[in-house]
Amino acid sequence: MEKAFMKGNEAVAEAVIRGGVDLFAGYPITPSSEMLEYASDHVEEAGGKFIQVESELAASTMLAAAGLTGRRAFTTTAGPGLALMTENLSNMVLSRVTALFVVVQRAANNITPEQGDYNYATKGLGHNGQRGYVIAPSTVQEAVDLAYTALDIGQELEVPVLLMMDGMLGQMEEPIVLPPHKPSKISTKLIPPTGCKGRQKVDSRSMPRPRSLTESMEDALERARNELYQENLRWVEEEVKYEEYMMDDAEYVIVSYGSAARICRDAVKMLRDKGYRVGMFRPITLSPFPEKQIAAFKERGVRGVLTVEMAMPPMLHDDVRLHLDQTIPCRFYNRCGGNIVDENEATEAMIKLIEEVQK
Amino acid sequence: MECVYKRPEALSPYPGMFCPGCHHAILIKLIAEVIDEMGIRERAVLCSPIGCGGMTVPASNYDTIFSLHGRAPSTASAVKMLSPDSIVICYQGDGDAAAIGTAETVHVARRGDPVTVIFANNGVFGMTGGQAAPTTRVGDRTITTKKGNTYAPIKVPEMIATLDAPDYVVRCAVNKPKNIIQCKKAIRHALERQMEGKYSLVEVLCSCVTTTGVKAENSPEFIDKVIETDFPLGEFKRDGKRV
Repeated sequence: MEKAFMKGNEAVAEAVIRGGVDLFAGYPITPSSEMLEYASDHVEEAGGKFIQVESELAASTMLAAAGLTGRRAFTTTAGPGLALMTENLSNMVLSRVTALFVVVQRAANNITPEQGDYNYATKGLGHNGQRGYVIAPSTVQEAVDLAYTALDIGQELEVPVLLMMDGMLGQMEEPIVLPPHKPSKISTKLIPPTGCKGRQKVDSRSMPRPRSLTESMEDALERARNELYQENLRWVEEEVKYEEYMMDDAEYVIVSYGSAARICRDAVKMLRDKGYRVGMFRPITLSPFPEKQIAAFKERGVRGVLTVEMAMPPMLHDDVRLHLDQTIPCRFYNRCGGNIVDENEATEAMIKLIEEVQK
Repeated sequence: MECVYKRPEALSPYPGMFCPGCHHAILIKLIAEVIDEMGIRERAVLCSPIGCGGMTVPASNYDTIFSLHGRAPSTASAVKMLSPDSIVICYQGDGDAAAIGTAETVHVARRGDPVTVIFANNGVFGMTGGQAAPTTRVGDRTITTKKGNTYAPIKVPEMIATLDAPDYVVRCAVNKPKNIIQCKKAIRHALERQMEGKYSLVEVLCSCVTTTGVKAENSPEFIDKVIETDFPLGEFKRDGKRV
């Protein structure tokens, strides 16, 4: 185990490299650029390839090509760049190939932190309305741990992985423990179309293709989408990750993720000091969403839920409301535009909710 | 009996999907012949585009990888980077390479990535129904320029030849036997240069016999006129030097 004191962006790049990666292709964008810079220094040392390309379109194309040849690749970007990567992301989900997209979220045209890409990342990556595997860390150590295994999960589930950081997490420095180096591996779930020596030619898995002479293109696409949807449902059962903080006896729950959640930890402590039985539920996988766990709040005696995020309109809030029992009041406290949520304001919002419930 | 002519092994035995008279079909066969002659079928990877060029996928009897509209050069670069032993052919139409994928076309050439771009230029968006392309000549009528196109066309090899890294940049045609022979030589040289670690681009003037109003039997003369007015044949760069 190796200890280090590193900036979030650099730590994630180091973790992905240690997890085994063949290619980094990227384009600079604040607040993610340190990852590109770090990759330029260290990816090739570890036996991978590094390329700084002319646009996010080209970067995502290269990631898609790496996925189609069974290899592991990653990039980093922020919202405006993610919008450009949409083109390939939508097709990658449909082709069932993986790559890691580290999204250091920012507030639209401001370069300050926000969590405004939640809906984009979880509701539909691009023009097909498909879903990827979306994870959100709330500390640099957690970002390192998730980044280290992200491509393993991606290759296993055959889906692009989005690691949702934000400007705050990307730019802050924290002490971390780095995992050991492990080799990259080629996906065994497809035949890489890189030369047909000793076999029939293959076309890349760039679209669902008919499996028999009697299956039409329409049927092939419908079958592929149904299969993927069944996979999505299975992920909700098996792949969901979340953290509970002081939830054992909690009557009131803050639901928050990422940087906002680490601030809410203080709010929970402050509310506990005032005598309120408050806990926090933090989704780590945003897609698949921990919907069963949210639905179980009723049985656990939860009387009120406050969602906290750095986005407007509320996005995580909608998902929580969808799965939460409708008799439980659900309110939100959000900041946006690059303003970070405040533990005092979160505490006030929670007290207001508690008073509303107890009235 | 001695076999004097047969389907190249690198060409799929199935019927092609191109319209009768389409020059793409000639070009695909030339590429297949060159691949056979060089004995590189088992190393070849075709990066296919969106558009009529996408129909090269079923026509090729070697590995193919599909990319999105305009992005084929980036796909080609990535495949070559990750599998340096593959011979990567990036096949693109003019909508793909000269319109939506201009940035990719230019920057793969700027970096001098060791891939071969085959750029089939028919002056229109063929698959979508013959709309004007950035390669449509001034005055040409298309379904979106019914009064005649007013913008001067982009000349891709001339543009790419201004960059330092490209090794071999050439414009060919496949409208006559002489041009076909020259085109085949160019494709071979381009692939040979790729094997030396160099970037090469071969533009091939094609005729779309379905959407431009030029009948198949008139297309050789039509392409001659195109060569005369806007797109002269010849090498623009060889061995990394401007010609």
